[in-house]
Amino acid sequence: MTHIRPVRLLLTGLLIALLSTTMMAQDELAPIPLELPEALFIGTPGNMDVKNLEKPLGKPRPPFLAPAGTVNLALGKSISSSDEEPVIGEIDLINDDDKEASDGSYVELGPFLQHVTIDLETQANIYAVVVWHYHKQARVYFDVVVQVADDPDFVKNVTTIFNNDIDNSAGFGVGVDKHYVETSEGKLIDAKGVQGRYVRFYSAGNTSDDLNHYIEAAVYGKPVK
Amino acid sequence: MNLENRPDIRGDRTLFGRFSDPSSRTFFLISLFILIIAALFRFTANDIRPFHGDEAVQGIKFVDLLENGEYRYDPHEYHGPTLVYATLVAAKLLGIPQSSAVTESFLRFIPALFGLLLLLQAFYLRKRLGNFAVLTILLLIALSPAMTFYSRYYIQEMLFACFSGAFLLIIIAHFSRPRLQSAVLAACALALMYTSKETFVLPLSAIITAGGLLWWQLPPEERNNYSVKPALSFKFSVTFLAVFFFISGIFFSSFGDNPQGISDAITTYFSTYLEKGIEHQWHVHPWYYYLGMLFFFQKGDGFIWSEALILLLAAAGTIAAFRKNGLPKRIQTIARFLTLYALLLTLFYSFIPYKTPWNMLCFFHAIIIVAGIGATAIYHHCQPQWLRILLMGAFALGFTHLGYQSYRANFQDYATNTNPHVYGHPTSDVPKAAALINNIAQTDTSAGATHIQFIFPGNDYWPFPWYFRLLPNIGWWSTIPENAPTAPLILAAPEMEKELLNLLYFKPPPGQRHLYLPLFDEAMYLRPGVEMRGYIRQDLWEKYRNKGE
Repeated sequence: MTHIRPVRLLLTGLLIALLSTTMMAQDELAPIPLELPEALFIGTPGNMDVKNLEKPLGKPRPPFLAPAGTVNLALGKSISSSDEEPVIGEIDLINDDDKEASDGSYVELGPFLQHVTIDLETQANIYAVVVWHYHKQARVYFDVVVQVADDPDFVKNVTTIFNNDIDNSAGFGVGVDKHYVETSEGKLIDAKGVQGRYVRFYSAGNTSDDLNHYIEAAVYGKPVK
Repeated sequence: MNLENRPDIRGDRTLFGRFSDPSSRTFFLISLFILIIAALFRFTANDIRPFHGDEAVQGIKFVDLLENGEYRYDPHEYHGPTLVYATLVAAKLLGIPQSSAVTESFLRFIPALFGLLLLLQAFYLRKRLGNFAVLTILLLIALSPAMTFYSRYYIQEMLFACFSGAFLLIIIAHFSRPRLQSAVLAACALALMYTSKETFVLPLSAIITAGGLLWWQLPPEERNNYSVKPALSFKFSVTFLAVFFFISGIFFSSFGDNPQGISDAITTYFSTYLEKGIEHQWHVHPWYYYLGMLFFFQKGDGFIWSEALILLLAAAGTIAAFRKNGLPKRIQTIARFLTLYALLLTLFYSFIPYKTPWNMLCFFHAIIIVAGIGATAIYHHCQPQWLRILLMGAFALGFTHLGYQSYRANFQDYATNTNPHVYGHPTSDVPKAAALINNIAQTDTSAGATHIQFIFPGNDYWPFPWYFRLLPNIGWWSTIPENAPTAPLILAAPEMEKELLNLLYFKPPPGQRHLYLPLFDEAMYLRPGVEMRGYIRQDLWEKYRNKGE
């Protein structure tokens, strides 16, 4: 017993130190760095006549701020799609952390309104969502809607965190968010710390064709304790 | 050798009086040239330096007076009202109607004007000290980095130095030839000193002590040459006191609106300034702080600053004034008085623990006058002619060096702390941040005025209130505002970040925890070593981005 006591004390001390370090880290506001893919615009971009289009920033977007310990909860989690047989690629390319626009890194879903759903496998505080549809070319995707819910059928506690469907063609109401040009930075969406387990991404074609593409979708947050 | 008998300093053609003839074109041409240089150093591009916190406070007080007609003397801070009332007169003359038309350049025009008036005062000494001394004094005031830097500083100091200088000269005039006009003018000058800064007691004490000491050491037969008794006659004394109290009362009572200000201006010595001078929390420096800074200043491996030329010339002036034959008899007494005044005032300021660099102006002006006397004395003791030419060359080099330092201080190193006069000063990041925030605030027109919060412990967010005086929806906080709505744009001290995190990401219910982005691309500093951090809500940032900025 006398030999065990110092070991116990040491372990308890280490545990307390570890816990306090973790708690201290949680008390900090940290810029969440995104590892961005290489910009891949090829050729002269077309002249896009899209309503409610936001202007390009012309400089890198600053990192967003969130409580320290915020991570991409979507990475490698279970994912499903409205198009069970994508034209190109596999669904799990969407949350594999590969944000490159090269062939083999993206999924092409069929035309019209399609969606992908990521199961975070636990309730989470979601601070931000970043989505890359296709940045090999300057494109605008239509009817981009992002929702968070507690269940896979999107019935319980559904929150729409982004909606640029200006004519309500997707049926989720008229969106007030702007259309945007796809870039290697992806689209940063403020999730306002919403709680949920499932995140769904809708889109309905783009300025180049009627198809829907996804390179990567990241959901930044922390599991609810 | 008795200087009185030397042929080169006898009569009107001497160096002490060579240009005494009012028609002397050379003197006036040189003076004009110096005044132009002085004006260039004082008025040119005087808005390039970020507004100091103290300037911002005075600016806000002036704007309040301009727009609301309100000014109340505060016995705890911010000194007297002459600065804001002088600015009000200038604003009325120039037709500046409201806060939006008030620029930093306009505000700094006021001390610059008084900086120029300080030069003009030197002309009074022409008949007493001679043209060489006056030209030297003019050049030194025109080129001194301390004098030029604080002539571009919207605080009371240059006004105080100017009124103190005027009082000194009027007192000399009055005791030379007592007249009612000089008694009235002296009272006006003293009242303006008082209503500029509470420290008026220092130059006043120095003048009285210097005069007393001088009188005491004069042989009885020489005392008859001075009109001390007539100058202090009942008629003049009563007039002096009446005018002094009347003018002081007018200003401190805000022209009758705040009679309380008159008593506050007296009780402030017991409630504030006595304690501030001795036991202040900050700004406590050793006795040699001012002289050391003037003699040699280098921070790290930064530029070497020195106004040692002025100190050395003043030392020469002091020796000349007190040597038996150091100066011609007719100027010795006034030289001794001015030297004693400069020495006493320097001692007073040096032994008060509370020190800020701009406080030196009042006694440094006196030192410069003594330096003028010193330069003249050195010139006269230089024989033969080639030595004088050499000396003039050395003076020219010294003046050029001062001028170069003034250039650096005002147009190059105006916001870097390697400059001795940049004290507790905002960095150049402050106007940059202000421009960015103003720009973003103009973006958000749909929801009315953008709500902005400044959260700095101890309300250490100055001079921002000046830069954002036109924005209506700003919260100034020293702690995290628990019960106020969180603004989409926040500027805060780094130590507030943990509490801010709680405010932004934990306190609001899920779904209302907005995402914030860093406002600045790089570390930004309020003052050297004092970081400020900016946070912008993602939706406002998107709006700003879409504005195309």
